[in-house]
Amino acid sequence: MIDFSQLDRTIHEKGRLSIMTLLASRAEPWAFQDLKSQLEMSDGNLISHLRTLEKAEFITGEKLTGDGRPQTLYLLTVSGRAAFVAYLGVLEQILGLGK
Amino acid sequence: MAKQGMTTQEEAAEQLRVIRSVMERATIFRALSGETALIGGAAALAAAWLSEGRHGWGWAGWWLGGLALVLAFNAFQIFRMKVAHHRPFWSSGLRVALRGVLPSLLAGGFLGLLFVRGGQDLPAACLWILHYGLALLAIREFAPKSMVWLGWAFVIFGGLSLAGVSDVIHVPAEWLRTLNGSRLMAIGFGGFHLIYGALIVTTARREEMPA
Repeated sequence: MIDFSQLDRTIHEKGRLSIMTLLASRAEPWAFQDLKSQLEMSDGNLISHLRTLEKAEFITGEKLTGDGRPQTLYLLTVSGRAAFVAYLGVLEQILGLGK
Repeated sequence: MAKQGMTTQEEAAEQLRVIRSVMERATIFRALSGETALIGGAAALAAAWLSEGRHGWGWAGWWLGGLALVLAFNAFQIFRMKVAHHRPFWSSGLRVALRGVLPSLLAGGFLGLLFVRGGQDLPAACLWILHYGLALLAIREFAPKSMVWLGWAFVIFGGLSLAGVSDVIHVPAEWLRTLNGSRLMAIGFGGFHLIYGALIVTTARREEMPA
């Protein structure tokens, strides 16, 4: 019997799941401000979730300090993408969608 | 581990709903609103009427002027919706959309102007129609299906027109006699946009929010 104990708890939280989904939706990196406006999260909340995901090595953040305003770009790591795919697989099995 | 009052299956379904809604918001970008399409269609018909009988830059001037007006209106529409939803105008969705459409638009615009310079409005119109369709298809990965259909309509119409004008396929002589750049542009930019705009504004408004 498949249950939630098999789901990755780092991804399972809705805020972090939304971040992982956004990062998985495009091959190009996401800027912090874009993540914030898409997810409608406060700076503090978003930073906290991003740190948790970085600690789990699911995402990487790269600080850019060019001529313009400094910004941080976030990208899924290979292990982060694998974890996200595995998470979706368990959800599908719970819902009986995986054949 | 399910939340209180939720079964494991309900919670899994809820998580999938979160993923789906985030994906839709992130990946769907309607670069052309229904209202803009209607304005664009009407402007194209007006430009076709005003440019009828003209050639070269006198002909292209009406179309470039109309394009500038419609682009300004579309930018205003996107800005208005972003403000209403408290989102930045210069978003990642807009940037990705521009990166997708610009190569085709610039290439088609340049090639068309080369023919305009030589006073050949008909091939210029074919190339503009074809490349506009290619630009719409370039952002098909994150455009609503209706825009993909619009893109294909332009590509097929532009491609067939170009093939007809350059004698690759046979077109009845009486058709060619009545056809000119203005009328071709009126069918494509006028007719297709009016049909598309009418369908968008009269059907459900889901997907309308630019990313």
